[in-house]
Amino acid sequence: MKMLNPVFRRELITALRNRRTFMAVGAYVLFLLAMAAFMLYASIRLDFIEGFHPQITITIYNLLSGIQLALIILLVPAITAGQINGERERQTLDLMLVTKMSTFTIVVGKLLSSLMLVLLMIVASVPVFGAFVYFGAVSPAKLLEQTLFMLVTATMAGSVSILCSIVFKRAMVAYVFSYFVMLLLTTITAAVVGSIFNVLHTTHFNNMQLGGIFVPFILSLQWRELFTWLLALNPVVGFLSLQDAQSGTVSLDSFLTQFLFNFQDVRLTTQLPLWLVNIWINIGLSCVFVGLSSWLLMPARRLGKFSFS
Amino acid sequence: MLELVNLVKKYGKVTALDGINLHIASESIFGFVGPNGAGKTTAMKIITGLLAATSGEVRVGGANQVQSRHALAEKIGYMPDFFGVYDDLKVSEYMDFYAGTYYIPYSGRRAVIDRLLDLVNLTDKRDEYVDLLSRGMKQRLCLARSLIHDPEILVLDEPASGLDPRSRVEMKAVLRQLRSLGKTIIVSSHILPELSEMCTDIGIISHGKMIATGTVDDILRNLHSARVIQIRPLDGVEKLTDFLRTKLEAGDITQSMGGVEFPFAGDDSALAALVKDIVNNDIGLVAVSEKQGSLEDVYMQLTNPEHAAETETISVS
Repeated sequence: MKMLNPVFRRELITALRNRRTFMAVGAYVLFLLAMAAFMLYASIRLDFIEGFHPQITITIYNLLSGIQLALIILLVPAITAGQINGERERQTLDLMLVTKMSTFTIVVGKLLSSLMLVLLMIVASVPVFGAFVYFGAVSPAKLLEQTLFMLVTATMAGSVSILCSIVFKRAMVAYVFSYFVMLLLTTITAAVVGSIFNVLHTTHFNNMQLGGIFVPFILSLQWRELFTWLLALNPVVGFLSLQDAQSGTVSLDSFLTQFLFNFQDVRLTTQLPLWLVNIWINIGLSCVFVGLSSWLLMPARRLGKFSFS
Repeated sequence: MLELVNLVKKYGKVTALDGINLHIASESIFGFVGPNGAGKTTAMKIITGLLAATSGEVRVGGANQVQSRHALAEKIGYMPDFFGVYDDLKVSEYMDFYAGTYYIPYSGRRAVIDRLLDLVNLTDKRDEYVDLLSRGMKQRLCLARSLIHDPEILVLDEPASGLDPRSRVEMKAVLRQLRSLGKTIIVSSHILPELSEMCTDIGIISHGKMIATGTVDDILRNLHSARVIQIRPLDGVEKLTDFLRTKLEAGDITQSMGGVEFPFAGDDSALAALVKDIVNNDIGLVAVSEKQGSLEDVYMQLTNPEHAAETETISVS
């Protein structure tokens, strides 16, 4: 008979017994509902023309989705980066390592346990976002795409934090490093691309001024490819690309094409949109981090000479 | 059966285990004795697969076969020198978790858990939170946990540390019961009288070297330079002393508690002959006994730094 991951099962028992789990999920859903209601109400009240504008629901949907992404990026490391260190402090890690469970099972169990709350929040918020389907802000298929994007981003953030929890024996260092990696992915990639672009663009602009003839700024294909890959690492860019693909109101593609890619479609040679590339990259990163975590957690990686009968 | 063959563990320049050789027979209780930092826990962690030896071999069961962590986990149950409990779980849930870690089917778990809780006398606590258990109960719960997959070999690191006298007695009783069920038990402790009562064999480890192994009785007999004999006469301690002076070295004979005490280098037949001589000389005897040396004496003698410098394994069989 197939068994549930023992570590996840244990955490599930304690989490389901804990009233705070439900309170946190409930409070989050209520918060999203309240935000949506407030923004809808405000948009109607502040409008000089009486009546409801369906266009506003797209903006509200995008804003609430942004809040959810921020929550994932901020909350997942906070819950996950202490997982393995917590077992160390409780002195239960060795006890798990001498059992028949593989370190992969332990890491996956810990990852699932720590993502449980966030996954519950994401799933519980689907009906709230579903209301926007009713308003016409988003199609059901697009809503599913967004839910998938959030789940994959949460898994990537969780696997980074688990790895930090194994590498750094001190919990505080693990927390700091997890947040640093998330900062690197969400901000620093964009900042690096932005800075390089800025330098190139300014140089180009000055050169053109000297020539007196306007020549459009065109980046070479290799540069475009490199920048796109760098940006595809960034969950925030992936999210903006998803919103752009969904509603067209977030003009990430037009911003990038206008300034960075010279009116070319923001697509890699794979012909996939940025958000989908971001999903695949995050799945890949999660696998690498979980694999590395399992390897590092293994006690006595070289078991030494043992013989059995 | 468990065998350590020339086991070495080095941490950088520090040698924690320096060529340990050990043979532990099946269904025995082996006591690991040694001062703090002697290498007991290191050896135990290597046996359980938590640490890799720098060199040497651990043989579980005797023959040379596969190398796998999974197979090792199946054969060995480990109880470290700390509790390692989840306070937010109930006793039965705690046991159920560890049953899961050994992939015991859901259907068979309840019976296994009930049997083990009964063994460690915690049946009435099965629905209580682990947090609410006393130290002794937590220790017994940990023992039950280490038995959840019915291992052949139990490795117990300081199982009686911090327990009150009643809990210690209970722990000893459980270990004896486990031995009778066919388990091979390796136990480390600082409490020597307890080990001498409980263990079939002991090994004394110091500075990473095994300096003596054997049964408790043999170690006591062989490592004391001579046996000390106590004789209590019916009357006339002086007469007995005078007689013994003709037979033994005078300086060694001391009078105490209405009798005499002296070291005796001969074997049992020599002692019987001496007793016969005394009786033939009209000295009435009430008691002849051999003074019990303590394991502590031997331990102190073997683990002192002067001795450590010249250690070589004393194997007593």
